[in-house]
Amino acid sequence: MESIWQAIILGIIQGLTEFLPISSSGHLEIATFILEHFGSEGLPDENILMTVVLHAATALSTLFIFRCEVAQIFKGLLQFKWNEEFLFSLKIIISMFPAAVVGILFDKQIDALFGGRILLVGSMLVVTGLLLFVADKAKKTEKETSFGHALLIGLAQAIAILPGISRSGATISTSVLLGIDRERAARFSFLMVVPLIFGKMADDILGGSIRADMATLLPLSIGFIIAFLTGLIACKWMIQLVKKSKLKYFAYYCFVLGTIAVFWNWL
Amino acid sequence: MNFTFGKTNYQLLIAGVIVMAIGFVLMSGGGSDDPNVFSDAIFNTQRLTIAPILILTGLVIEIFAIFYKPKED
Repeated sequence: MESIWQAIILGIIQGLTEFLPISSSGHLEIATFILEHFGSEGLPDENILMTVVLHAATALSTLFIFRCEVAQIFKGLLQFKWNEEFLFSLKIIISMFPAAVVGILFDKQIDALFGGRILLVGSMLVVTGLLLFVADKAKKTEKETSFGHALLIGLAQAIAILPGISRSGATISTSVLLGIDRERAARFSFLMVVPLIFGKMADDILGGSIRADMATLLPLSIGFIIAFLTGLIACKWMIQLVKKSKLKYFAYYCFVLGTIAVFWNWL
Repeated sequence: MNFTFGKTNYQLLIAGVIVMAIGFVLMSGGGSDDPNVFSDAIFNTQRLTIAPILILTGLVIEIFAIFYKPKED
């Protein structure tokens, strides 16, 4: 029963943090710090299978929300012409490179540098807040995404591997600050991560790095459904927030949490 | 492009979840009860090949369910 409740909570957290700009990894580091500060053993070791299943659920909710756009892209690609859909796909591929390179080459170093260092995580949350705040003030946002923009947005995604920097926050803010239309920015941000998630998932499953257990089947299924449904709501909500320039509320939240984390480190 | 979700889409979504669940069932077990005894069953074809392929097939069915456009009468 406990594992079912854990699956529900994990599903909600994954569904929300995949789309809302609040940095799930930053929150995990802070939660671990608080638990250890009060004498607990911290969070349990990451369950790779549950992580894979929850990420698959939110990737599917992204595809569900953008199914018309994605279908249009595939329809255009199947014409085998140098058309708008082909160019969009190329931009998505370009945007994936920086995160893939940083993830493969520096993942362990980043873990070692930031793991348990609440000052760095708090500072990065403040940076996320600043990005969101400045992006919300941007006025001229009517451009289309160019190849150069795609690379810069990809760099923002690579930087967002740091705990405390929100992936959606960093990529959407970068896009908006580059002058890209807000709705396009949100769409690009959410679609650019889908191939990475499915690629990582296929690698984990076929690579034999995950193990299943009959006892985890029900929690896995429940976590999957909850993450999918929460992801649908959060994705739609986030698109509306970006369009209406209401990211500043998340900026305030990141400022407050980041500042508390920084000061807590000095106490 | 109109993508109204119909009965067939929901059926396909459920079918995908079932296929993934079968994959997880096939992947489970195989470990030794005695920590001093190694069990080869944990690395057999069922767990290392068939189960992962079924899980990924389930995922592909889910993606297909999202994009499937029911034929209009």
